[in-house]
Amino acid sequence: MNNITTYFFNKINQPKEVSWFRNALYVFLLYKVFLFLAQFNALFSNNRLIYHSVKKINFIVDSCFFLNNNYSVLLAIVFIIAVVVLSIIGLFKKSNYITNFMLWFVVMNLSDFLYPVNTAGDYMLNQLLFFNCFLLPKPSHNLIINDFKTVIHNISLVALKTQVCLAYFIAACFKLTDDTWLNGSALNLTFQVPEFSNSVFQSIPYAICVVFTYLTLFYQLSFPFLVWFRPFKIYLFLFGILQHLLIAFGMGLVSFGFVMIICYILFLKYDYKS
Amino acid sequence: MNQGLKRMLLLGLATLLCLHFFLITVYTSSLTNSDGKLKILSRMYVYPFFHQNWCLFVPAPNVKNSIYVRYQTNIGYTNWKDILSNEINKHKANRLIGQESVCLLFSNSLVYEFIDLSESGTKVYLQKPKNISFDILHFEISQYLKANDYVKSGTPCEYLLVSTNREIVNAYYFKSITIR
Repeated sequence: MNNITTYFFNKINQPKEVSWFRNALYVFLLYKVFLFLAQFNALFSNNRLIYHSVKKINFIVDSCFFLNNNYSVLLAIVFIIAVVVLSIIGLFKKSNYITNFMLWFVVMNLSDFLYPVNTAGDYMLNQLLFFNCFLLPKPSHNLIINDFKTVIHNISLVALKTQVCLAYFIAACFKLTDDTWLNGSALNLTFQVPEFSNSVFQSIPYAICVVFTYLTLFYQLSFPFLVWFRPFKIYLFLFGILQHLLIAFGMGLVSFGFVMIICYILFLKYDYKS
Repeated sequence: MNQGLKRMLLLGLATLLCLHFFLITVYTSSLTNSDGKLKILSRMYVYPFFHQNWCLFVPAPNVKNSIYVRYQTNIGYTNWKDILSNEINKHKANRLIGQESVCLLFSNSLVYEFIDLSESGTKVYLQKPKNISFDILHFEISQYLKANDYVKSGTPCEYLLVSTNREIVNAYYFKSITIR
């Protein structure tokens, strides 16, 4: 128990890796803003394609739908500008609990407004931004507050890693209930659908698709267990990065691919001792 | 902070974290599909703040969907145009400029509409079907045509929604529709 307490209270764990992760997250948000602007007419203008319906449940839940329920183009622009400003504040290492919480709130509102075009990457991004609020706190003169901030950082770091592992594990469990994943034909079938494919993917021989189907299944199932062991990590990350780049550029789910790659930063040198 | 207080704080935070991920697991898992108390509790906690869905490519997609549209002009109806394929091709030409959103929008709406229409099989609809998924799809197509082809509200148009896999082709032809 003493060891565990020391681990969580002694120091801010993985400051370097968390800082890289944060920067990657903020840069990715700036890229998301670029996408919002590139597709502004389709997503946010008065002639947008997004079907709009007001959701009123209760005060707490409604806060997530503030943009949706009070929609105007001007408000959407304010939210987008807020993402830019708060991300840049973060990149210059000036962020704090309040700015990061605001960033989570703004991104979640944008995401809830754009719910028909969300992918798993957007959901993951919201989780990352939530726990990001508690990372790398500014040191305080009060020792008790410092202890509190340290443990909150370290717990949030554990939460982020757990979230990533859980996502892979649940995705794998779903796949284990599906015949096409079990008989190895899932990727081949997917690659025949133009929406998630291209000419290169369509020409991949069936046998190779079967191998990659099982590798993907094995990867997702084993990730939560093997990622904690250094000898396996390099192979997991190599396969994961390759897989997510193929998902991004081959299958066209760009945001999802990038978000999942960003998550790997958290596992770099997880046993780093400073 | 003394050691006892540290332990208590750590225990409290660890309990909160375990509860958080337990409820997320229940919410996202397919194991408890029933509307039991736990599932309701998990919904209340997880949605919308921590909403997530990890049912990725299950079942594996094996259907090619198309949205063919045509509309009335001064010289009669235009040729059929597959707007979903057009958007997919644009997205393939450059993956980094965000065309993904429009593809996902049409694709998701179409999936929900096919679920609603699946009982009827291939069919010609002389009147607009009364379901919310058709309303949403109709809204999106209307907005798309207004933005890209400068078609005006009230213009007569027709949709042909086609779902093709290795075994079966289902087509749903909607006549007498007007742009919203």
